[in-house]
Amino acid sequence: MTVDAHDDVLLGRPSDHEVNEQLLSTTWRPMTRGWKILFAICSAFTVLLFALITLTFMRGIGMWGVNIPNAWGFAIINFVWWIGIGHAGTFISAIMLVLEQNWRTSINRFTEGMTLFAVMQAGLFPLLHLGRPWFAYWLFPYPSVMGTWPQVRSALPWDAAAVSTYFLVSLMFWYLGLLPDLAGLRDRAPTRRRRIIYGICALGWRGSTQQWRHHKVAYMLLAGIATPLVVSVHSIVSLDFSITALPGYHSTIFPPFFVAGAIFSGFALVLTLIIPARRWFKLENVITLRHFDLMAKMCMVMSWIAIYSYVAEIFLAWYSGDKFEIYQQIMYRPFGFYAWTFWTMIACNCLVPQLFWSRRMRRNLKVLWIASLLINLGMWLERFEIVVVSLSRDFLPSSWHTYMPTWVDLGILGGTFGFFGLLFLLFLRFVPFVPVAEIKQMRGELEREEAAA
Amino acid sequence: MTTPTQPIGLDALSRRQFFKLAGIGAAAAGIAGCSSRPAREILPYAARPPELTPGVATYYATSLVQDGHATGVIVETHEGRPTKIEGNPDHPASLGATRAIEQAAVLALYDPQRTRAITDRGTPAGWAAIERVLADARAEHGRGTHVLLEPTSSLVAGELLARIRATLPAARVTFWAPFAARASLAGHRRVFGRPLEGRLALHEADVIVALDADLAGDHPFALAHARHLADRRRVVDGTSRMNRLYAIETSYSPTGILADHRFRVRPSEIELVARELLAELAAAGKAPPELAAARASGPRARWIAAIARDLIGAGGRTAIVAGERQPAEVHALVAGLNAALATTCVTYAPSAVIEAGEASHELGPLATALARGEVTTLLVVGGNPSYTAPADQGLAIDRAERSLYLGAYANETAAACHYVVPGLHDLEQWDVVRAADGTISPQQPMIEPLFDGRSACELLAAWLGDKPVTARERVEAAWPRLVPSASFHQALARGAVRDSAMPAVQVGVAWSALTPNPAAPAPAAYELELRSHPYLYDGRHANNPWLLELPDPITKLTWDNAAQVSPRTAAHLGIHSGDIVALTVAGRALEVPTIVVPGQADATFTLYCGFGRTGTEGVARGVGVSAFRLWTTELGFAAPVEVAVTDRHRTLAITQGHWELEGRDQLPSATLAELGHDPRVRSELAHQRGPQPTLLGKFPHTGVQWAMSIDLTTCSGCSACVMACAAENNTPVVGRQQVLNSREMHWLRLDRYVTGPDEDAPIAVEPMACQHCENAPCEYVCPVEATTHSDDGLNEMTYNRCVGTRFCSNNCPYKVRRFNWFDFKQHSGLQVLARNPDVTVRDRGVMEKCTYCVQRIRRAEIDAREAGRPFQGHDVRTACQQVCPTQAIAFGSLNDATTAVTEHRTRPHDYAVLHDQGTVPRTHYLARIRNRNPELG
Amino acid sequence: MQRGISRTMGALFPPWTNTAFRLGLIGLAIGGTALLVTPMVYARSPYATGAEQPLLQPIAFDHRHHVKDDGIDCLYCHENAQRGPYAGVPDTTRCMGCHAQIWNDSVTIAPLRASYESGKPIHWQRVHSLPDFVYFDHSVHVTRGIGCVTCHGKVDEMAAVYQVKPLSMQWCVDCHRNPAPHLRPLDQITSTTWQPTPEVLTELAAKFEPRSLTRCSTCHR
Repeated sequence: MTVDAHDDVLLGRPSDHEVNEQLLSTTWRPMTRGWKILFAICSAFTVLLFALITLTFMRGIGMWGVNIPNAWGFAIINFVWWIGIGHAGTFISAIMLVLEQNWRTSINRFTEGMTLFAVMQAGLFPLLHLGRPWFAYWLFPYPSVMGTWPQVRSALPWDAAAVSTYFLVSLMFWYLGLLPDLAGLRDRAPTRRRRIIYGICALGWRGSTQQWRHHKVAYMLLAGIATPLVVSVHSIVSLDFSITALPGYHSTIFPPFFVAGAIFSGFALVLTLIIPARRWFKLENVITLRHFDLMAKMCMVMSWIAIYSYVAEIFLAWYSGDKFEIYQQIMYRPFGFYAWTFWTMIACNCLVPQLFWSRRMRRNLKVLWIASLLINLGMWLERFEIVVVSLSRDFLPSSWHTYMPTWVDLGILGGTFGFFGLLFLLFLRFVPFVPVAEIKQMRGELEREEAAA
Repeated sequence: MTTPTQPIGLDALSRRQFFKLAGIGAAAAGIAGCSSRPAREILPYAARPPELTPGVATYYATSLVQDGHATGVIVETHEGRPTKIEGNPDHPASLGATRAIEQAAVLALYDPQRTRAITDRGTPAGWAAIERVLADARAEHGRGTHVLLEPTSSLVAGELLARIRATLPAARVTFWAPFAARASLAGHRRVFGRPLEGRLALHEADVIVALDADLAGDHPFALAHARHLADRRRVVDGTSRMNRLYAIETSYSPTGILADHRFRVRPSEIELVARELLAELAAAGKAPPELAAARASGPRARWIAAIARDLIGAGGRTAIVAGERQPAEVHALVAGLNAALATTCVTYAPSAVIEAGEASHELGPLATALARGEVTTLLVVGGNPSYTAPADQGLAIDRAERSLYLGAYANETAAACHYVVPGLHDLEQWDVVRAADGTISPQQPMIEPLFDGRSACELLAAWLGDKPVTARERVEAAWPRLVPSASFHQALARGAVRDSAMPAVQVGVAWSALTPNPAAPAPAAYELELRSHPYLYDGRHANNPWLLELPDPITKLTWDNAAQVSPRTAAHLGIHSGDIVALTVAGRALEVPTIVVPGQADATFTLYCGFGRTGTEGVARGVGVSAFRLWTTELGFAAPVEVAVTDRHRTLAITQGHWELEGRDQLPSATLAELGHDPRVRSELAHQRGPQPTLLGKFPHTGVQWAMSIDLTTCSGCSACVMACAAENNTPVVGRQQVLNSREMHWLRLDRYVTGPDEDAPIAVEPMACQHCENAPCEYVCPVEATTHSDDGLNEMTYNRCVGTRFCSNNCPYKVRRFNWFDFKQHSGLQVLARNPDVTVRDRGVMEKCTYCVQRIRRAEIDAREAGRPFQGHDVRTACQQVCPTQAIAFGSLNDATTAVTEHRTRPHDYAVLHDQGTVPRTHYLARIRNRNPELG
Repeated sequence: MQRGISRTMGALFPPWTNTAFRLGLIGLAIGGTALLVTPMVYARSPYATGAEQPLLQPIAFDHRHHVKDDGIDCLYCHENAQRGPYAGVPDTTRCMGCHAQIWNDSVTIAPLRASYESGKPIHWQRVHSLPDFVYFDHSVHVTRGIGCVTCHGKVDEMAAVYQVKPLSMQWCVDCHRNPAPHLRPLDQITSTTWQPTPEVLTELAAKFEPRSLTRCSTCHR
């Protein structure tokens, strides 16, 4: 295969030493002022987050805007949104590994980190939103002195199981991929203290052929386990809604719709994060325009699945002839109290990605970055449509009531951004966020291909 | 973790109470709340009263009084602490029902703002000080002494007042209550020559015309009226016979909701309507022909003629009633109308309220005397005249040399008087009073006076210088004199003396008293109608949080009052609900928010009295504005008003904003004729019941299977059921801010919708609580099985298992579940004593909802098991069912052919809300049926 | 092992670290398991259930003496057990019924006399506590063939009363699922020695027709 120099997944053929210098040194090179400022801001928001969580625990979730009928609000929206974000990571690292997409190599560690931290944000909310969070463990099956068990017909215990499994598998997958580079750091880090710490984390990785063989097998196995999880987690999350009878919740297309949406928003956030990171850490040679081109295409595909789902929802509402569905989908969402959220969502999720029909746009990082932000907003609003707008207009007009978030709601949402950012900055600081070993491997493969050519 | 002593507040209680309450050591659960660390101590009685078993409720009969009109009640007490009030089926003014006000009386007993000690200008004083004041008041035959009482029918007080007139002739007696029914007495004196009250036999009337008369609402005999009206409106099928109720009123009332035809008129038109009706009858030869001069013209003519024909056609089985707010002239005319129709359903009898000779029933003379400084001693016995006095008759109490207030609450008047003596709540009271029809009703205390209070009789006796006797001794001693015919103890047990109503008197109308041509008042641009609040009445209940949070029957407004205005007028003025307007009557201005109400007469404003309290009562203070400031004696309850729209707005805490059905069929209604033979209507109704295709298995119908059926034809929306539910089930009060965010906790809400297109806006009410669906959507989504289905068909809510995901509420199509967003429950204070110990007090973060009063069901079940008899549940009644004045609610087993619910299921207008959702609700409804006059369509 | 280790790493980690690491792994496994198991064990232990803990009472009341020696029936003092939900503690006058004559000057019962004179209740310590959200009704159990000893144990052999059963929901439900084996004839309700026989149980079951009462609202209202 001939490779166009400007459209490669790896520019130039850096030597091992060069690669190490470029990618490992990020962990001991002194951090820039920009990093420190960002770190300070994120820490502040993290403090805010935990302050508001404490407040909520002490006073009760009445501190939020939720009410009857809108018994779910920001907490669930944020949960679904963050868990969705998580999906791109596993999708890129696991599924694309299985599909042998070599362009994943340079970005997979990055997206896996994002996955972990997003799932951590998401994981907060199922606990937070409970009226009595101190009894959250009742959702897990264990032999209790009450002689009671969770109810398997409800989606929530499965939620708890799925999310925690997903987190654990992602963590192991991420860490397994990290091992060789930790060993690399152990061997190259400047100070003894670092070497010892990295050494412990490296769990005695020596890079022997035997270890590499086991590593490959384990990595592939975990990828195999992670792949169905990508589908299952968000399918289960979607059941939180689709098993109900509520107009706007009650829908059979939710599982695929949610998974697609999740990957959609996931890729969008990867773009949001990787574009500045690439700039700051001068990674133009390992994260090339080709990567962005491909990710933009992914976004567009997912956007079309979303468009299809929106259309399907509205069509089915009309086709069912159910007066409640028709009111919710055709009258209230586009023209009701929350109409602006609906149209913003449509603009962000359906119109913006159409830019990516053009190759120029796909490779214009400014456009790409702004687009990715808009898509994230759009996907958040999509969850708002589902969670809140459906609830605020259900069967009996007597119980209709609108929902307004309180400052606590907004604070917690902002706080999760801060917390996420904080974790991500630490990640950038302390581990190589481009898999060094795999880059070297890929370089070898590329060189062999070229030699063959 | 609470020992009973903590929440009760030992300091607040006399020793004797403490021991009464101490018995609940074991029962502390009910008070302690939903805690998993219960009371650590057991406090047994030192000496247990023999009649009392800890944990088993005891019931006593007594009476609650309003403006001298008694309502018989049965009080549930737990270890000597009243917790729930029910109607007394043996009492003619109750017939087993109560209003919301009586339901809330139990909370008022424990009101923390009650007067607690005798004070002299705020400093503690002894009874001796009071006796000195009264001794001075005896001097010179009571010269310069004025006593201001609430209207009373107390026989004991009657005796005392008679003696006061004899021994203290110079003392002046005044009776005052703003809404005391005086106009009808004056009006009837005009036509009959003596002051009489109308007595209605509504269960015999075929055609009833209510002229601004809220028969089922604020009328003194409303509970009986409501029952009698409803008993003639129970529709089995299209062939049933129904009475026909016309309501002619300015603002919507529960009676207006019940009505088959409702006409909106301005307050000033009520009198015209009466005249025109009389004129129609005169024209038909039923009344002196000269009265026919005032026949109607214009838009009213059509329906007035139709009503007149309907009345004449009913052959004497008619009743025409004027509201007590109406002036004497209208009552005179109505007496004429009833006479003209020779009705057998309206008779006349003397008032049950004692007149006490030439005692004044106006504040005017007293106000003047005070202003002139002629009052040396002013004794205010009960009531709150400082607040309720008309704007033109304000009482300068401080002009009196000495003033003494006896009352149960630290209100405005208490603040104005020198001496304050704690009064008694009705549940602490010994007395013998009369119901509105004169039935003699004893009052016995349910609990010792909490704050060493004195009764009105005790004060009057002390004024006369009698030597002190206990309240019981006084009543028991007087009984043989007062009620020779009946046994004291039988009367106490029954709660009323049989056949002791005031006998009707024969009367003839003096037609000459009825002038044919009224001096028709020049119609003002806008008219203001002032009404007593359906729950706060004249403001005396304004410190009761239960009543403040109870949504208004029509507007669904809580924690506020607002001027009701029709949509057309609102559009004309360019205002929306919540916009503040300045209303000016005779130079007195008041700024109030408005609320747009369909069915309100155009160009009128209706404002409730009872808000805007300024006393020391913490709950009442600052809630709404006082309409009394626009009320003057010369203008009465309806006055021309000037309106100025301000640019300010106040968001109103309304629990149901939507009036429209939104094209949905959750509340079908039909006319009797349509129900009889309109295939479309019949099939529409049939589509809302019956089996649904389902993949789920059928719920096994074995044993007792609980179900409810609510007849919307007889539901007036009076909201007594909502209050009863709250009282029975310990539902917390959340306050205005939470209501604004749709977080009210009432398990039962009364959905009210406008069911017709016309501007008279026919309203129907649909009580909505948990429907106990057989295929309950809430149950399968609960991750911890906190809400489950019992084998007898109840949708159970296990609070202590709930983790608060609120998934159940999201999946409830009826949205009847309520969530404890905060720790709403009260932890301490006197009012926790009002709690029902048989119902868990819910903790923060748990879901709750209607349980069909499962605690009553299980109690009855246990009793049956212990007695070894099979349990059929015929003796189980839910709180809402028991209190309902019209008995619109039926409850029982579906698996039992003899129960009403089973029979209701077979009626053609039986339906289930959201039937097409396949939830198979256990609560069904009987569609609202109207008996329209064919002439009016 | 040694062979593979690079120079730098040799310097970093001496061989013993391998063992330390392995031990660490084992510790992790054990610790994780303990974290799960310990609370479950604790919840079933008397520390959590409050069983087996005699409480210090204002009066050193000895059931052995009153029941065994004097042969006083449970229901003589705890008569409410057959009349209402709460068995409760007898009121002072009930105690004084006897102690006005017997031991009327004993120091042990001084608090009793004090209560009798002052009319103030004695503050007994509660031994059997159910959560506030549990509605247990003594009378329906006692009148339908469930004996005192079934839940309270052999009180007649206790110097100071203590709780013998865990009073956990599991424990309640076990019996509610199948009450029949716990039935006894009404004249043996207060007996602590009566032993059932299969025949008796079958006829008792026929008499009381006990139902499986596992609906939540049986106890939670």
